[in-house]
This record gives sequence, C-alpha cells and structure tokens, in this order.
Amino acid sequence: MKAVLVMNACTDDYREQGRLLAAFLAQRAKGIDAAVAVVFHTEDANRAELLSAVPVYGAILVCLANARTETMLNQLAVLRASEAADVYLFTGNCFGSELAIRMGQRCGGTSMAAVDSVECARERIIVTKAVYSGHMEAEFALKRAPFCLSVSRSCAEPVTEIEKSAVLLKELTAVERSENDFSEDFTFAPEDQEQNLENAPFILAAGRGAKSQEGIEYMAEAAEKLGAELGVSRPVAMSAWTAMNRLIGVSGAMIKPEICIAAGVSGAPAFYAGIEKSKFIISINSDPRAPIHRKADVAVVDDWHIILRHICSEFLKDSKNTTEDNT
Amino acid sequence: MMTLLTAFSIVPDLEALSEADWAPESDLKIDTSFTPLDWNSFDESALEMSLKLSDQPKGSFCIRKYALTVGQEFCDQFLKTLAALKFDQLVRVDPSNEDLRFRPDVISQIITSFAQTQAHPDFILMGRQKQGGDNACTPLLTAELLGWPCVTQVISLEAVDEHHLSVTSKVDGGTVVQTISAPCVLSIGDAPCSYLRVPTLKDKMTYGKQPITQLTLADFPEAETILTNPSVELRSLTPIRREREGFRIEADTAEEKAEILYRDYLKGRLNRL
Repeated sequence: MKAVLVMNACTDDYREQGRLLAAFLAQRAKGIDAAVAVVFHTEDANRAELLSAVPVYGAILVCLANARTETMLNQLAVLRASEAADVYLFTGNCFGSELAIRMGQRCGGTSMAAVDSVECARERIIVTKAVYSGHMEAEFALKRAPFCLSVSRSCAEPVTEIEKSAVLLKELTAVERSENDFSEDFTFAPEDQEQNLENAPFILAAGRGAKSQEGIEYMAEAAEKLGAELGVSRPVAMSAWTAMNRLIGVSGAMIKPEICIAAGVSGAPAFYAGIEKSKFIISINSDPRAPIHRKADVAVVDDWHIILRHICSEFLKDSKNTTEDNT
Repeated sequence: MMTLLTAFSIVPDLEALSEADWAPESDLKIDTSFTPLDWNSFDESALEMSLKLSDQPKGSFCIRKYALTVGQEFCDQFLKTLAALKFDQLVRVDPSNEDLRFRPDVISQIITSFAQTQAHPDFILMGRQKQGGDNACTPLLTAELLGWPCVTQVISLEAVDEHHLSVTSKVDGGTVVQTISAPCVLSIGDAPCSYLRVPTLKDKMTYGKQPITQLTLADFPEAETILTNPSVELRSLTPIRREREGFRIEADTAEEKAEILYRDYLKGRLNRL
C-alpha cells in the first residue's frame, strides 16, 4: 500500500520524528511503500536540514505562518488531491495524534492513535496498539481506507541517523483563511530547553510514594547530590508537587538513561513505558507487591527515605575521597 | 449565559487488577466488574474545570452546565455527586449490552447529537483519552462531526466573557495561550491541580437528588447506524509483559540494603557515567 508520512518541523524535535518514522517503517511496518513525506515548517527553517531529516525518497515542504493544526488539516486535504495514498503515517506527538484522527474523519477513512505496528492485508490493514493503560496489546483490523495512523512514541528504537537527504518534490506556502478565526491572541511560549530528561544519563524517578511536596523536595535534593535529573510520575505532576515538564511516561518524557532509580513508584504501565528503555533500573518501594519490583533489574523493598539518604551519604563520602586523592 | 457540556466516563481502577486478572474472556473482554470505579482522570479534570469556570464573582454572567456520560447504572452515583456540585443537567445514555470500548465513533456521535438537539453548548469539554480503550479520539471526532474547531491538551481555562475563554494548552515544544470564541471543543490534557472537588454535606442534601435524564442508544439513531457498521474490528487482546530480573536485595536493615545497593550495583555505574 502506498503511504505518505506527515512530519511537523515547526518544532525542534523534527529530526527525532524522522528517526522514529524510519524505525517504524523498517521494524514495525509490513507491505507499506512510503516514498513521500509532507513536512510542515515555519519560514525560518533551513530547507537542507529539513530534507536531511526526512526518511523517505522525497519531501513536500509546506510553509506555515504559525504551527496551527486547523491550517495543517486544510493543507492535507488539498495535498490529498495530488498525493493520494492508502496510508498516512503521523508521529505520535501532540500534533501528529490530533492530525491523524481528524484527517481520517475528514476524508471518510479510518484512524487510530498510538499504533505500534501495521501490516497490510489486501484492502484492510492490521494494526497493534497498547490498550487498557498499557496492560494489554490489542490487534485491530481497519477496514476503510485511507488509514490515518499516528505512531506510538515507544513502538521502536529510533534509528541513529537518516542515511540520505530527501529530494525536494514541491514547496508550498499555506494561506490561513478563516479556519483560525475562533482564536485571538495566539501566543506560543517555548519549553525550557535546559532540562532535558530524554538525554539525561541518570534519572531519579519519583512516584506517588513521595506522598507530599516535601517528599518530592527531598527527592529533588537527593537527585542533585547524586548528579541525577528528577523525573516524576503523573500523580505527582497532577498534584503540582513539581513542574509538569518533569513528567515521565506516555504523556511525558520517554527516557533512556544509563541508570534509573524509581523511588516510591508503583510501576503502572503508562509510567513504565517512559522508563523501559533505561539500561539499568533500580526500584525502591516499601510495598513488596508493587509491580515495579518485577520490572526492575534490582529491587529494594524498603523506605525510600532511608535508602536515598544512605546512598547520598556514601556517594558524597566517595566523591570527597576521590577529590582528596587527586590533590 | 454560557453553556458548557462536559462529557465524562467512569472507569475501573486497572491498577487494582492482579497479573492473573489480565486474561481476556471469549468475547475479548477483561472482567473488571469487581474493581473499584473512579472518574476517568482526564474527564475528572474537565469536570473540575467546568466548576472553576462557574466560580465567578456574583454579578457576572451565568454558566449552565450539562454533564453527560455513556454508561451503565453504576454511573448514577457519580452523576449524583455532580448534582451536589451544582451541575444543572445530568444525563446518562445507557448503552445496554453494547461493547463500546473501542467505539469512539459511536460515543462522539452521541455527544454530537446531544449537543445539536438538546444542550446547544458554547463549549464542549472532555478528557483527551479514556483508560481502557485508550482510543484518544472522542474529542477530535466530536469536533469534526460538529464542524467545530478543537483545542487539544488543554491545561487551564479562564472565562473572558459569555462567549470567550482564555485557554492554555500544551503543544509540541511549548505552551500556547489563546482567547477562543464559541463554539469549540476542548480536549483536556494533563492539567495540574484539577482533582474534582468534594461536595459539602449541605449541598448533597440540597442538590444531590436532582433527577438524572436517562436515554438509550435508540434516542440516537445516527449512533445506532454507526454501531452496526464498524470500520474497526478487534481481533485479539494479549497481556503485555515487561519484566526484568527483579533481583531483590535482602538484608536485616534498610541501611544494610542501601549499602549493598550502592556498593554492588550503583557505585561502578556512577563512576562510568
């Protein structure tokens, strides 16, 4: 089946989008022939860099004044007339998940979000995805083309690099008409780039077992002493015990550190999906039945306060000795 | 007056299930009948946001609030809580024995029809995703069926006037703040501090007995038509196992466990970072 990729290069993560889509096509897609990508971008984008992030033969670049999904949807409808395909693949970020579902509805096809794999089977496709909050994998048959799918962010290990730049097939400039008239004073504030959980080598992940803002502050201090970044589970972020940009899991960061200490974490699948690519996972939870213990490399069933305090003390002692030895 | 329609779901606590409970039955259902029920977390935020919009100083405009759910009779106790929290209209659509876990197309058609024929809302609020089906489609499909715009990943709302809201939402790479005019669908994301408030005993006694409007799928012929013509078919359900070695450190005291952990598993790895 002929497929078109859709990427949003209005955000800085477009290279990751390209690497994830490349991995999905190579590892998780069967019977899909993807040769063209539609790439939305803003005016200041470097065309050569955009093309180098596209994992298929050719790219159609669509320039937008603002990264607005309503405008993107209108452009996709226009492009569908000239670039009709059976399958449209979007990345599973905010934009991709929205565009896939809305485009599927607009063109009378079938859509699905956060797909882990796809296989073409005559006029239908078979897809798998996580359901029941990550406890189960469901297999679905989708019957009505075009199939608009967003790709789960954890479906495949992104390729390290795109081997060859795509060929520029077409350049378009989107004209905003009345689709955004419902919105005034549209102001975009970029995220703090300093704190990047996804590239941190060592993460202390705090869960509901922290019990309070004071508990989280204690863990933040422990993380700082150990040289780790602090990440949190959804209940912690929802209680505003720390900033939402420290959230780990399906709706937050998907981390891949060398070491992840999960303290006071139960191990719910939606959270675990965010830490499962960690090289080494240590669980600390006083509940021996907490699922996180089975999903860790090493488990400590005890009070995280005492364990972290002791680890910090040992680490500081070692650091001091190393400094004295060097002098 | 501003009219809000908030659609919500009641879901089983999936974390209460043991590993053995994740065994699909012959009809590809998971038996969750014995688990505690709770608000779907994103919908809970949507309901609380509706209430926060109503917490305006006296003398400003009035907000009429509809709460709509599609679910069995057990949802009524939750609707009574919403009655005590002063939602004006409470509606439950009984799906009978239909399996709607993976039918966001049917649910969104019900919400759309209800909005068009009965509530006539300025804004529709609902969570971005329901635990269980994890479809993450219903608000988006509702917006498309209505031909309305949709703002996704909403984390904060403030009323500007009867027809406008100031909306803060997450987008890839940052946050957007905008003033939107009615009508619009708002898909609620990870909104901090949006747990649903608890009604006072006095309000429970005064407002909690408000009648619940009960409808059935037969009241939504378009949804019934969609139900009989699915474009997605569930073929199988398989438990996802993500286990590692889980080597348990045993010792008499927490300090001894911490020492073993640091000495044998952490120190070397930290030195190599």
